[in-house]
Formats: sequence, C-alpha cells, structure tokens
Amino acid sequence: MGKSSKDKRDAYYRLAKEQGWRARSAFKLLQLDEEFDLFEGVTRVVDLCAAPGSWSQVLSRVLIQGERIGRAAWEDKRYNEILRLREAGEIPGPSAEDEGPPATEPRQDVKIVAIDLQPMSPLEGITCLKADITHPSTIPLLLKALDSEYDSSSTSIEASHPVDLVLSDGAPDVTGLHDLDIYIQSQLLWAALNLALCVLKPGGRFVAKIFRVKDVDILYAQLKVVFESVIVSKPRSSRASSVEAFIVCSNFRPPPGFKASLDNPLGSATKLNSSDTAVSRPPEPTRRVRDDGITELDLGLDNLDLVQMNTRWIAPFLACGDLSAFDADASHKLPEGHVSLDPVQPPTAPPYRQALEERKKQGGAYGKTKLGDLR
Amino acid sequence: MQHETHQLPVTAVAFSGQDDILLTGEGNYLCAYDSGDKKLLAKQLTFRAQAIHGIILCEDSPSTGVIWGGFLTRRFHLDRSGSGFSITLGEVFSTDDWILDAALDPGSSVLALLTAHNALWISIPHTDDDNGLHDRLVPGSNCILYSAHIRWLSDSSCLIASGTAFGDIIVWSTAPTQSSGKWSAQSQIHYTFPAHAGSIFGVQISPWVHFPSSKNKKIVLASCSDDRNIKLWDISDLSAASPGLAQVVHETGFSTTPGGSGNASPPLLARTMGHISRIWHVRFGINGTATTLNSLLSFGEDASSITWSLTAASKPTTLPYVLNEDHVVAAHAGKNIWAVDITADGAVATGGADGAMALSPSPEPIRESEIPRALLGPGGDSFKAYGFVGRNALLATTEQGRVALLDLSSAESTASTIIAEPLPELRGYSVVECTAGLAFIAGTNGNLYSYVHGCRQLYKVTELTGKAAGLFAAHRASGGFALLVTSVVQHSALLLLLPDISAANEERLPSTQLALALPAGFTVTSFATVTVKGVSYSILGARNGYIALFSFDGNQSDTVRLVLIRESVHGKEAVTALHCVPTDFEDEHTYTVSTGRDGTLAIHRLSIACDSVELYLVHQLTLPFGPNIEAIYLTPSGGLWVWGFKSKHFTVYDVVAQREIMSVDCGGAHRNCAFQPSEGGGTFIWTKASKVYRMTQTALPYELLNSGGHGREIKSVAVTTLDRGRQIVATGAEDTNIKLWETVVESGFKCLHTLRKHNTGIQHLQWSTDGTYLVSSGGFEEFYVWKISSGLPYIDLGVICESKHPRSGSSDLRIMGFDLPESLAGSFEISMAYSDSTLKCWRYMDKSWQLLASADYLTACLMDVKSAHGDGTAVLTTATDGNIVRWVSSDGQQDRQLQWISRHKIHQNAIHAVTSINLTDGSRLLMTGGDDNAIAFSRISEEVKTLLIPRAHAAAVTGLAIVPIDEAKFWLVSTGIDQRVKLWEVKVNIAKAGVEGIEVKMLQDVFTAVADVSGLEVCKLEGGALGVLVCGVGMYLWGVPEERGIGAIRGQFDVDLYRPLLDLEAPEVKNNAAW
Ligand SMILES: C[S@@+](CC[C@H](N)C(=O)[O-])C[C@H]1O[C@@H](n2cnc3c(N)ncnc32)[C@H](O)[C@@H]1O
Repeated sequence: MGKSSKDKRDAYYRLAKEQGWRARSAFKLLQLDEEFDLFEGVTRVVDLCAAPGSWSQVLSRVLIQGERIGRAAWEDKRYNEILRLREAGEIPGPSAEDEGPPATEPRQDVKIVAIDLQPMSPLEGITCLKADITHPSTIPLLLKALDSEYDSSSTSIEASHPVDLVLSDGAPDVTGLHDLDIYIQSQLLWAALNLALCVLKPGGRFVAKIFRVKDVDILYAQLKVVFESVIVSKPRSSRASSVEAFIVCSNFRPPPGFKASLDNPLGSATKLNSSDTAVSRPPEPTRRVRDDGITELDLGLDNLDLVQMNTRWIAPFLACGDLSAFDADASHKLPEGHVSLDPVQPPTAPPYRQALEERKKQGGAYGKTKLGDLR
Repeated sequence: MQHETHQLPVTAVAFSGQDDILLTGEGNYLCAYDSGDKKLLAKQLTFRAQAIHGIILCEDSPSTGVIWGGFLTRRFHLDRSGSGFSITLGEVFSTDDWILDAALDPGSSVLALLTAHNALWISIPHTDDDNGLHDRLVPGSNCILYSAHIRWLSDSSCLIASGTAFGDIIVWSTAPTQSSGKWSAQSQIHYTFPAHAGSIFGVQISPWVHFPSSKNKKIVLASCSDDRNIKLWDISDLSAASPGLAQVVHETGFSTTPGGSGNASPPLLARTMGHISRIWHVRFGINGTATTLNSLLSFGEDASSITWSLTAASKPTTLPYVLNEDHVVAAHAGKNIWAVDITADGAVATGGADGAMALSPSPEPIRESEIPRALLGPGGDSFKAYGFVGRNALLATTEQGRVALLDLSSAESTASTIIAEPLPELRGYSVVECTAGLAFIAGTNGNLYSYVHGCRQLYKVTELTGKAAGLFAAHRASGGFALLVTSVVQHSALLLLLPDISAANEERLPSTQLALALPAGFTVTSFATVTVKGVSYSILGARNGYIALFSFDGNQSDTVRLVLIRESVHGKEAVTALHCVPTDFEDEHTYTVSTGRDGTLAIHRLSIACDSVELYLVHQLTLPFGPNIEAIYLTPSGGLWVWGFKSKHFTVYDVVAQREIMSVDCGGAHRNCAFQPSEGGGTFIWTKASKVYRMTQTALPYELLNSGGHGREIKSVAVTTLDRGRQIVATGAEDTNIKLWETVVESGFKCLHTLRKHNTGIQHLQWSTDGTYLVSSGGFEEFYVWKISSGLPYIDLGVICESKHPRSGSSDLRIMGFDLPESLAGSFEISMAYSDSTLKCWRYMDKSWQLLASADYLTACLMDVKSAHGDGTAVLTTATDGNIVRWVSSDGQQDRQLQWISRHKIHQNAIHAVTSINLTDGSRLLMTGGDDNAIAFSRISEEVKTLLIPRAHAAAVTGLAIVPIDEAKFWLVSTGIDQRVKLWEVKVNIAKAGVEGIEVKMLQDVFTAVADVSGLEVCKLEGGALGVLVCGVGMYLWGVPEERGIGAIRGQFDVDLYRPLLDLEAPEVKNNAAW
C-alpha cells in the first residue's frame, strides 16, 4: 500500500503524522479523555506498554505543558457541515468546535513513568524504563522511578506516593491461534493490573487495552472486584472491525486488608474473591424507556453473574469520541494539496530483521535461495 | 442446538499406533479418522467451551491417551468393537493456567503438565486403591512462556525445556516422588540461556539418540523462534545444576545476562533459517528401533512443513552440524499449520488453520535425473522434439534427424532403440505429435511420417506441400485419428483422417485429406474433434484466444465448413488445450473443455439444433496456479487433471479433487517438455540448457482429509434460498477467495469450487432469489456478478464471472454491503453501501450497468443496505456510527434522486449484523446487532420504535438470522465475537403500538468453536430440518431443535444451562493467600 493510500484509508494515521504524534493511538487516549475526563486533577501517571510513546506525548502535552487538546484535533469538519447544509440550506460557516489557541496551565509536581519492552525515544519530563511488565523485577524498578527514596532492598512493593492513573496499551504480537492470543492479552492485562495494585491510590483510575472476545466477561468480573465502576469503551479512532477496546476502571477500592503480593500476583492462578453473593433466580424481565425513546429490555441476564458466582459479568459498553470525529473505518478524501508525510517515528526492528538481512546477503529476493544452504 | 458438522482449524493431531487411526483436535471435538480410507470413525465433544491444543497417546497402550486445551485436561479411551468405534472420556481436570505441554510417564499413569508460567502439575487418575492426584507440584515463575516440552527420561524424572516470550530457554528437570502418601518434586535447573532474538515458539527435547559421526548418544534440544531460526543444542551434559527455580525467576524472562547466576549456553550444534514467516514448532524424526536422529521437521505460519536432514559439517570453522532442507510439503491453504505428528517410520500428519489434515508417507525424496544424450546414438547427437507414445515409452527426434525410442521403465538406466537412422528432412528441424500408441513426425521437406508403437515402425503418411509448422492429433469417436497439420506460410491447414492402425503392411498409411481455410491471424495452438448427430466437428484453438468450429462429413474434401468463430475465449492468450465430451447418438449438445495461458479452465456448451450451432460459456474459473496452463487429461477414475507452469514449477492439478498432484522445480516454463500422467503422478521430461531431464512420481506426496477450507477467516456467507431445490453455500474470506459448498452432514462440507478473482478480502455475498446468480463485493470497489449452472460434465457446477462492475478496481473504496431486490431474471437493481459514506444504486441487466442514483450519508462508513418494501422508503442503511438510516428515492425525468430522510441512533457503535421480517400490518421489524454487544428490534412504519437488549452478548454481535415459526412468533439466532450462539424467541403482537407488543426471551446459549465469527445463515439440513451455519475462522453447523423440543425450557430460566460453565470453564475461585 502506498503512503498516500494509507492516508486515505486511515484518517487517524494521517492526522497523527500531521500533528506530530508518534502513533495514531494518541487519538484513542484523547477520545477516552474526552468521554471520561481522565486527566482531571491528575498529576502522577504510569504509562505501561508505552512505546513508541504517543500516549506519553499526550500526557506530556496535557500535564507538563498544560495544553488542552480539544475535539478540533480529530474532528471531521465535513460532518457538521453536511448536517447544517441539510437543515437550512445555509452557507457553511466555520465549525463551531474550532477553538482559539489552547489555554496552557502547566500542572505542579507532575510525575510520569513510561515502561515498554522496546526502547523509546526520550520525552522531556518523562521517565522511560525498558522493562517487561509481566516480570516481577519491574515492580521495584517502577517504585524506584516513582520515588527516588524507594529502598530497593526493602521488601515493600507499595508506593509511598501512589499515582492517580495507570494506563496500559499493551498488545502482544498475535499468532492467529485465537484462544492463545486471548490468553496472552489477558496476561498483559493482569500484569498491568498487578502493577496498578501496587502503585494506584485509592480512588485512582486504571485504563487498559482489552480484547473483547471469548471469556472477556471473566476479566470484567474480576476488575469489578477492585474498582467501583468498570466500563468498556471503544474510541472512534479504534476500528470497528478490531476486537480492541479499553477498559476504564474508576474509583480503585482495594478490599480491606488487601496487600499486593509479589509471590502471589493476580493472574489466571490467583483470583480476586468478592464477598459471597447468594445464588438467586434472575428477576423478571423489565423494560425502561430511555430519554432518547429507545426501550431498553433488561432480561435479568445481568444477574447471571449471581448465578455464576461472579465469574462472568458483562461490563457496560460506551463508545467514545463524538460522532463528528473521523471514522476509523471510513475511506476519506484527502484534503486539497495533501502531502503525505513520513511517520514521526520509524517502526522498531522486528526480531527477524537479522534473518532478512542474512537472506538478502545470500542472494537477492526473499526466498530465492534454498534455505537449507544457509549456515 | 445440536452439532451437525464443522470445518475448523486443526489444532492437535496424533497418530495412534493401532489400526492406523489418526486423531485430531478440531475445536472442542476429538475426531478419529481411519488414515487408510480417510473416513471419519468418530467425533466426540470434549470440553464445553475450549479447543483442544494437544493429544498424546500412551506408549504401551495406544488406545488410551490424554488431550488438553487451555487450562483443561482429560483422558480418553478409543473403543473399537466390531465395526463400531467410539471414544470414551475420563474426568475433566483444570489447572490454573494455560497448558503448554503434557507427557505421560513410561508407565502411563503419571501425567506431567507444564503451564505457561512454568509450573508443573501432576495428574494421576484415581483407582480402587489410590485416590489419584491432581495438583501443582512445582510452582511457576512470573515470566510467561510461549513453548515447553516435557520428556520423561526415566520412570521418575522428566527433563523440561521452557521457551520464554523474550528469547530465553530454561532447561530443567524434576522428579515427582511420593512418600508416605504425599507427592512432592525436587527440581534443578541445568541451563538458562538466551537462545534466540525473538519469542521461542517451539522447543523439543530428544531422547538419548545416536548422532551422525558421533560415538556417544546425545540429548538434543531443538528450538525455533520469531527470529526465523531453527537451532539445535547439545544438552547431554546435565551435571550443571542449580537448585530450585525460584531464584532464577528474577533473572529470566527478559534480558538474561550471560554469565549470570544461570548456566552458560549449551553447545550449539547447528543452525538454519527456514520458512518465510514465523516458525511455530519443531519435531524430531527418530527412527523407532535404531534411535538415530535422522531428521527434523519444522512448520509454521507459512503453512508449509519442512523436513531437514542432519549431516556433519565439512568445514571445521562453522558449527559441527548442518541442517539440509530435504523437502517441503505445502499441502495447506492460506496460513498456519498448527499441529504435527510423526511416526517412527517417518510418516507425517499436519493439521492446518484451513481445517485440513495432510498425511505424508515417509518421504522418499524423488530427484531429477538427466537422460544421457548417448542414448540417441553415436556422433554427439542431441534431443530435438519428443513425446510419450506409451507408458514409459518416449519417442524423440534428434538434431541430426534420427528417431529414437527411449524406454524409461527403470528409473536408473534408460534404454533406447533407434527407430530411424538420420533422415535428411528431419535434420535440424522436426515436429512431433504423440498420442497413445502413435506419433506423427514432420520435418523440413513435407514428408509426414507416422510411428506406430505396436510394431515399432515408422511409416510415411503423405507428402505435404511445404514445411509443417504444427501437428495436432485427436482420437475420433467413430474410430481412427484426425491429424491437423498447419504450415508456416499459408492460412490454411490440412485435416487428415486416419483409421486405427496397429500394424500396417504397406509402406504408406491410408488417409483422407481435407483442406481447411483458417480465418486471418488464426495460429492454431490446440485441436479436438467431436461428432454430434452424425456430423463431425473439428474445434481449433488459436494463439490469440479465439476458437473456431468446423464441420465436415468425413469423406469429400470440399465440405469442411467454418461454422462458428468465437473471440476472447481465453482473453487474448493462447488456447492451449481442447477436449470435447463424446456424445451419444441422440445428444443435441455436448461440452468442450479448454485451458489457456490466461490461467483459466473453461467449459462451453456446444448445442446443435437445425443448422444453428451455438457455443455458450458455462464455466470459466482461474486455476490456483498458472497462468501457463498447458494441457487437459481425464483420469480413468474420473479426475480432470490440468498441468502447466507456475513461476519455476511444473504443476499438475486435479480440478475435480481441487488438489495439487505433482510439482517439479524445473526452472521455469519450457517449450520443450512432455508429461505422461499415471496413478499418483507421472513422468515429466523437460529440456533445460540443452539437457533433458526426467522426474517420476508414483505416489501422491500427501493425502488430504477435510480439505477445501479457506486459508483465512470467512467474512461473509450466503445460502441459496431455502425453498429451492439444491442448496449451495457460498463463503467469502479474507484470503480473497469465494468458495461454493454443499453441506452433507455425514461427510462434512464439500467444497465444489473456489472462485479466485477478487484482489481483496470479500466484504459481502448474496444470491439471487432463484440461486442462479451470486454477487460479491470487496475492497477497491470490486464487484462481480457470477452465474451458476449445474449438470456439467466432470465438475457438475459451472461458474462464470458474467460481469464486473465498471468501477471495479478503480479506487480504494470498499463496498461494505449491497442488496439485490427481486426482479426479472438476470436483471437487478443493486444498492451498494460504500466505505466513504456514499450509497449508490445501479441497474444491472445483460452485462450492462447503469447508474440510477448516488447520494451521500454523512462521514461514517456505511455497513450494509437493505431494500425496503411498501413503507415509502427506498432502502435502509446501517453504518459504523450506530444509526439506521431511511432513504427515499424519487424518479426524476433524467435520473433518480436518492436522499436520506431520517436517521435513528440505535447502537453506540458500528452495526455489524442486520436482518428483517415484514409484519402483517405492513410495518417492518429490523433486527440489528452491534459492536456495543446489543441486539435491537426496530419496528419501522412511519415512525421508528426500538426495543434494545444492551448486553445480549459479551462482545460484538456479528451475526443474526431468522427461523420462521408462525405469524405471531419467530426465532432469532444471534452470534458474536464472544463465541456464543444464542437462540431467542420473539413474539410479535402487531396490535400493540410500537415495540410494546414485542416479547423476547432467550431460549439457548451455546459455545461455538468458531473464532472471529463474521456471520451466520439458516440453512436446510438433509431431511428438511433447519440448521444454523456459523462462519468465521472455520464453519460450524448446528441443527435447530424442533419447537417441541425446546418447549421444555421455554418460559423459565434454567440455571442448569449455566451449571457446566461453573464446573469446566472457570477455574475455581481460590482465596488469595495474601488477603
Ligand atoms: C500498541 S503499542 C503501544 C502504543 C503506545 N500506547 C503509544 O501510544 O505509542 C503496544 C506496546 O506494548 C508493548 N508490550 C507488549 N508486551 C509487553 C510487555 N510484556 N512488557 C512491556 N511492554 C510490552 C509492545 O512493545 C508495544 O510497544
């Protein structure tokens, strides 16, 4: 696919390049923020699985530089224009959403730690660590980065100055064996949650990428034990055709007496247990007419979690990003005079890079040589 | 709902040493096949909602074994009683983590399981005097593994290799022991080392084995990775050992520091690179009795398996051993081989993501050999032209003008007979045409010879007026041969009719000669004859893609008439082969089969009625190789073979079985070559750099079971209307192919054809009401109209691409959905929903297209469009913004105006599924499934009222279908990415306003092993019952229960419906010790 055709196929890919983001994922975080006000009153943040760093860029611009990045950054101007034209046949004016230069109010005592397996180009004011989030040795690393006084010889794995928000955008290299990929993704989510349990302050928030697939309801049920509210959200910048979504967990409330444990981290083997709930028959279906006129039918299925002893629960779904936001699935016309830009960050080298190079040395195009000849 | 049949990725395979049984894991079914006759013996549901990822059999009693998948494991037993065969299952055990490998101890009682966090579990079935055990004996670490292998080295200890996500391998051993009733295990680490630059996808430990040029037996570790390398390590030295796993945990997983507390790397024995993408696994081929390591097998994402042989390195500077690529089997479609098993004698079974199993016998590499020129006689003569006159009998002309017969019956030494010493007219130039038992030879001066194999003699047939350019022979149904001779200069050709000849007394063979005037520019490339109603016809194919039909009475030379000429039969490419189906006397029509250098096989119906001769194209599809297709061959067993070239390979392909028969790396397409088909392959002869080579294959390189599946996930499915006779299922996939299927519950899905024309993944498919047209859309505005007919010879179902939309390929827009409302036969008004938010309406008739109207919605990608009836709207669309939109159209003088009038935000995000029924009051009930987990029922009349079930599924709802019951009630079947299929009862009381009269109840909720579900359709099963076909990564067919059957659970909520979920799927809820 040519550079320009990718720009057309994916509006966010083009916008990211134009606005200097290292990845199109920046818009996912921005749209989640638009819906959930993620950065309200937040100064201390951990960004897990952060490379190449577009989420960290967002954090830097919002928290450190105090910028306000509004909807105008990802709004498809045509949307409101078409609607306006339809309504009154009026001459289109400038989009109402167009804002003046963003107000800047840098925040005090901002602390941002970003972690990834892959090396990440430095960002001013952000501590970048190269580490595996599933690995226990990462916990002391993170604690040290958050608090320079942290004594790494101590056995404590709790932050003395906890953070307000833990983000994780981790995704494995998928294999195509669906249930294995689902399992690995859930392990990344567990790892992120374990780190969050160590560093998050009560009332804090946890936002993480999740695959909405088979058994995702088991994960929802577990998250619901430690957070008051668990909502699964899909930003407009995430393609409808992908299983990716983000779990927004608010009001961290560790159960009484809870201590994060290194030897017994949460994961598939260790589950959170909530207070026992009696197995009850689900109530009769109920109907409710919403403000928008749609009748919602509650089949009582929601109470299935009671039947299933909290092992399965379907978190409420909320799409985020206004409808005027660019549609990640739509094909777009390129603005006039469009020049396709190079990505802000070149992609990192895959593990098979050496293999590619060796093969090239062995003689031209991929696969031309008999592979067994190599040594 | 009841499982009927499926086509699912094969995620586990195992040979049972007994009775040649092959066991496979297909989703959550354990299947047993007879590897001899390829029949399914039994299929058994194993786990409720978990696919099988591994099967092993007990060494000492091959009818018992263990399966595992996800967190679960279960023992099984194969029972063969007389003609019956069944699988019985033991208890389900759950571990607390993903199981990567399992191995039974030599006594087959202790099962060792290793999980993705390197924990070892032991499972022992309980007996009368033993309570058994199922527990974790070695706790895990926190680093995640991608692969592991357990090998029992003795009755009481196992050696384990664990491959991490970040390139390290840990080799450790453990000895589970029992003392005073309690089990425990001591473990030791032998090696922890960085092995690869990417995730370790496969590790395998050999037993103690002999090694080439090494006196001592060794234990070898093979590993493969994301970095495309395969490595062999010598781990025989197990003396280095650090106790316990716990302390290395901190060191492993990521960035191991060499020389840290872990041990040094074991010696690297060999390394190679293979496969064009990720390598999933490696297996050893160990000769059963001799315990010598003779080969290594690797397989992966590229859907091929490679056999490597091991030899000692010649150069002392490099590693001590070399892995040589012995042969490659590419039997699976698309991507990914997931499972492999290998027998002691080297037979290999692979299971693919395409749902097929490939069985390869012990590989005997067939090699090419040169046919020595010395066989052609003295004087350094060389090959000119050649062809087969019989099995293993190759007739050749030489540079010097000799005619030689080569006997190829022995693979090593070829013998020859010189039929004719140098004939001056054959020197430097000769053309040869061979058919069974007969050959025709012509040279520079016009003498035409015939070689009769029966008497090993050369005869003169006639004298031509000039040098012959081409000879084309064909059998005549009435007996004898027809030979078409073309010349270099003239626009005419000579048709010779000869009787059957086995031996002739005369010098010269008798023949009838007819002159045939060729149309201008018609260079003959193929020829066939047929007789219909007593009239003989000759069909000629040309280099420019034309075919021409001539008729003749058979005797007088003045009656050869050109009756028909047709252009673009194979585009502008040469028509390389022609075959006519022989007729019975009453037949007024027949069929011609042709191949061309456009890569297609075509079938025309030739119909002859009162002087009018017509040729209708009824089938033309691109073959999976090419584009240089060269010949057609009908096998004695009803196969239709074609052969030709694909890049550097000569390929033989069976069109009926849809499989490759033979493939020879011959360096590229050759003008000079010959192929003699025989059972299991044949003999291919080719000239390369003025040398002549041969390669003979006598057995198929692999057998296929359950073949025909897509290479990638299915994106769209359509079934011909239920009330029409024959039911055909069409599926379109991300692999860009469309497949037509017949569902036979007994034998599974039978793929009838693969339509290869799209260049992008398929977005949508729909049948015309009468089932004669299939319409498909994809990316790049690709949009094709396919015409389907049946009753064709050899292939039964004929498929042609009748037309493509004029804008196909002209932009990068996707046509996400479309609707073909009922209309006159062959004429459609097609509404298309585009990815850039436009809606277009076209009229299609008789291969012509007319744009009726075009309009924009907003900025969201449209997902689908449905034609409406009666309510004033023209169409309804759905989009990624969760709206359903109503459109009206008004006919203007010039063109039609299309405009949307209202939109209704039903879902929060994309609408993935839509179906509808018309209610008796003229309103319409539209059911939609969204990315937001919801199912909505929208009643559409003047206004739109919606009833929404917000948490209908745990993930996106991607498929909806209706099972009609009666006027006031129907069933809705829904499915989604959560891999559940739900059956809902929907009652409609139209008298009530809006959606007040709509009652919805869930009746059933079952797991489907189909991942990434993209859609579902209701279809008819044999016997008339209804079924539900779920498509995504594979296909799964459910039988819909009778309404009576479901009555028992209707109206009440059945807790037991969910009870098994508690037992099997959810690992038990444990108290966290730290709380
Ligand atoms: C989708 S990208 C994150 C993009 C990032 N949020 C941004 O905006 O630029 C996913 C990242 O997860 C990282 N990752 C995957 N597994 C990890 C692990 N175990 N520990 C740390 N990072 C991991 C990958 O290296 C990759 O950079």
